[in-house]
Amino acid sequence: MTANVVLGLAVFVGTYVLIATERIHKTIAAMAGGVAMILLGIVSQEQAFEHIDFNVIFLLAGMMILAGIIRKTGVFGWMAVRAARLAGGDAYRVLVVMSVITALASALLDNVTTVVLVGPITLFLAARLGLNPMPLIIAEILASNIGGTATLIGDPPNILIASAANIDFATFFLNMAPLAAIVLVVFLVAARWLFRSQLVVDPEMRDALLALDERQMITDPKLLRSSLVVLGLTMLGFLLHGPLGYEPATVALAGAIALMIVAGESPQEVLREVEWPTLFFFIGLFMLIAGVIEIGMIEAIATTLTDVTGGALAGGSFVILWLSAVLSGVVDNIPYTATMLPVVEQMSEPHGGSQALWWALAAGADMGGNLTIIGASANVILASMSEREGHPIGFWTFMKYAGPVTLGSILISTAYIWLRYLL
Amino acid sequence: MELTPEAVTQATSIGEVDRLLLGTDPVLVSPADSLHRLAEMAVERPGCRVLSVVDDSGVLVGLVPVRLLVNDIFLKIVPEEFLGVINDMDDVMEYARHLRARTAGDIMLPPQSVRRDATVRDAFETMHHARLNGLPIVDEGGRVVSYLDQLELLLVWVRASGREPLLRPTSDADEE
Repeated sequence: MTANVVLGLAVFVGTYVLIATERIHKTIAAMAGGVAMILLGIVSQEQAFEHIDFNVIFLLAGMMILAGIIRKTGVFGWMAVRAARLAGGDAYRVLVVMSVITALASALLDNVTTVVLVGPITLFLAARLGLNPMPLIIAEILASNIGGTATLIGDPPNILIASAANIDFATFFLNMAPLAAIVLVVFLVAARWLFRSQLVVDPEMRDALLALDERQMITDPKLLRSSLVVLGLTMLGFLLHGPLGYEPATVALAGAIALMIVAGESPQEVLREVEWPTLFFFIGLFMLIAGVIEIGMIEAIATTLTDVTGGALAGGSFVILWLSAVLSGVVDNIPYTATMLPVVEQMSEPHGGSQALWWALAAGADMGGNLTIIGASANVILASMSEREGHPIGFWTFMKYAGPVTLGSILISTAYIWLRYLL
Repeated sequence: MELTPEAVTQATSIGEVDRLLLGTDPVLVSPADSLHRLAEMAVERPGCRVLSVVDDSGVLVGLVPVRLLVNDIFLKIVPEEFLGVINDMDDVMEYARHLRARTAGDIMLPPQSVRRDATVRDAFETMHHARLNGLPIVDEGGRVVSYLDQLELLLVWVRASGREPLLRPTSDADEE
């Protein structure tokens, strides 16, 4: 090994350890790793910057702007209260309704927005029904990662994958949404049994729920109407961006700018809603990965994986799926996916047009996030919210419910990928 | 040299204000008191807009502004009003914390107080920074001995600037 390889590996492993142990903020860790690759001369600044995928950065930024404005309208609160009332105070039905809303929200919006939308209402409903919120919170965590699998914008790994593999929104949706839907339905059926002992409602408290007025949840009806129109057009734009020859980031930026014009909000106000640390986390990672590619590490991993599976597409897909699921449960799935993109790209080469490996990576990285309480950002924030409310969710308590669900969803994904792409 | 009303206001000691003005008694509660109990005590003594949470020996351990108490209770009465305006992570976490709250200890803010030898300026500064409408006055041992309302700070200025007639209920004084 040359000195560059040793240095590059040390920077990469060091950055991963810092991200995993959270000794410093992951954004700082990723940026430090990326800059170190340049300072050590492993890559030039030019090479490092070339690796920053601005399609990913601007797609995320555009969606953050859209979500930041939309969540101010109260539309999801309205939806949730209305749905909970329709569920009529039956605990299992409330769980199903809230999980479906969470899955839909996380398919279209980022995780933080999803949690801000469904979290408080969940706590409120649980308090009103005299329920322990824990089963509802766990169900929502699981639903958010399952729902996020469905679309290109549902989970950051998907954005990375679609951008690297040149997959458009409609193609992504047609391939992954059916899988997400199947897994969600199976999970919701299983949830009745999984949480059976905890879904008991105090009958006296049930009536109080029906007295709620969901119209109060709408904070700005005018903004709501214009936001829904812009969001609808943006979704249409996503569905058509492939045939129209636009990149997804163009669609997201157009939607964000249109909503900023319609909403008439100051850019200072709107841009404050953008999660800048997340964007810089991605930038740092892209630079870090540039260094890792340069030292030949990616090629080594890809060659090893190809050797292990004998170069077969089926074997490769299943290894990627299960490896991704396990690793995403313990390490952040964003740096993991960013590292695996060039690996999967290389592994896909001999198999011509097959996208099986990409779908395996997406399903594994997204749904693997359900394995542990630290597997995805939605898990962490919903759990800390629950703790704040006086119902901490321990690592093993979460695992007890999430373990079987993750195992089940990866088994379903294995069957799905095999039946749809490999037979 | 004659002092301006502003200078007089700044330099007046709290001991003087407390003796001369509204003379509202402090409302003392313990951390374990329920929010229900707090509400009863707050309405019994409406002049006191910040309740003092004290330990067994009377030492100040926290504050519950009436505004916070009302918010907390109304969070359970008209939750829509609160749910509709939760926009970011901090709001979510704050909402979660308040939903759990049952006692004074659960919702109290960090203790803030003034001593008798402090000036009106000191008291205003503390109230302004902590966004409080009043403050407990404590002795050397940190025990609550009295209560100072924001209105009393205003009264010092009213007196210093010779606008006292405004305060007499019978006088039909002009606006200025």
